[in-house]
Amino acid sequence: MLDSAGGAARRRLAGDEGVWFFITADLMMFAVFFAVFMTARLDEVALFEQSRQRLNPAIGLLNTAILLSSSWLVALAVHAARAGRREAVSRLLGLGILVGSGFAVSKACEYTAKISAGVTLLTNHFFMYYFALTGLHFVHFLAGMAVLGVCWRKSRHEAIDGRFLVWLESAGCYWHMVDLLWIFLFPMLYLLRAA
Amino acid sequence: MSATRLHPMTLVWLALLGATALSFALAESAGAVRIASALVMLIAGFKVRLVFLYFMELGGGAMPWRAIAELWVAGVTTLIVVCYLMATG
Repeated sequence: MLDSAGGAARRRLAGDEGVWFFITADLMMFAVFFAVFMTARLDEVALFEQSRQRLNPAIGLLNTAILLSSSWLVALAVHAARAGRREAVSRLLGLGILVGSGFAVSKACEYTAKISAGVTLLTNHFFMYYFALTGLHFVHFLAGMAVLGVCWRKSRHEAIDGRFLVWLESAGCYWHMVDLLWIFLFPMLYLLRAA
Repeated sequence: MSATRLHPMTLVWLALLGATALSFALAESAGAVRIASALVMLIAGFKVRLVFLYFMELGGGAMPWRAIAELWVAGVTTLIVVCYLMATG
């Protein structure tokens, strides 16, 4: 039955247009932050390189795999919703949230290790940017988890109809934005080596 | 289990994981640091484009959002690579 509702509601843009305005504003904001970080790096290449070497790239890699996998599960949930498969939507969203929560655990471990080693926002310019950029990204991550949680609850208690689909697509697009911001943050902070 | 039976989103996910593994190997490789690091950022741009086009479903050409996404990826990737090469050059 959703096939017809979903088919009728099938737009060229996934999700609500207002959410896309919000996503675009967030993307522009992060583009400015990336520019600020990279231009600051120009002035202190040696310091940024020494500081970068104090990060664990394996943790960054794990976080990338976690966010990509969570994004994939949410994308599958959107397709399941279009097919009206309530059980699959609920299961995939639950899994997406569960896998995604691994990012919070990993980030908490990473921050704790850094702070207990005496590395904070005030250590130097690199770590100021590291904590500011990853912290701001983490706030977006938490908002994404909350929105996905709302969708998961709706998938269990409300009709899987066109209205729900707009909710899920919008939440999914926001969640994918959290993923793609990390795709740039990870190599920029952890992998860019000074020659 | 043929690959053609995999969900399109699963193929995208596998491509993203493969590109991540490739960029990590490049970043950890010895020698040609400048080229390897620039390639790592280009791969990141490619991955972000995959997310926009497939996970966020802009591949259908929903305007102006597709154009904004394409310009954003190209702009951010270029910005990071140029700044990186300026710092090491």
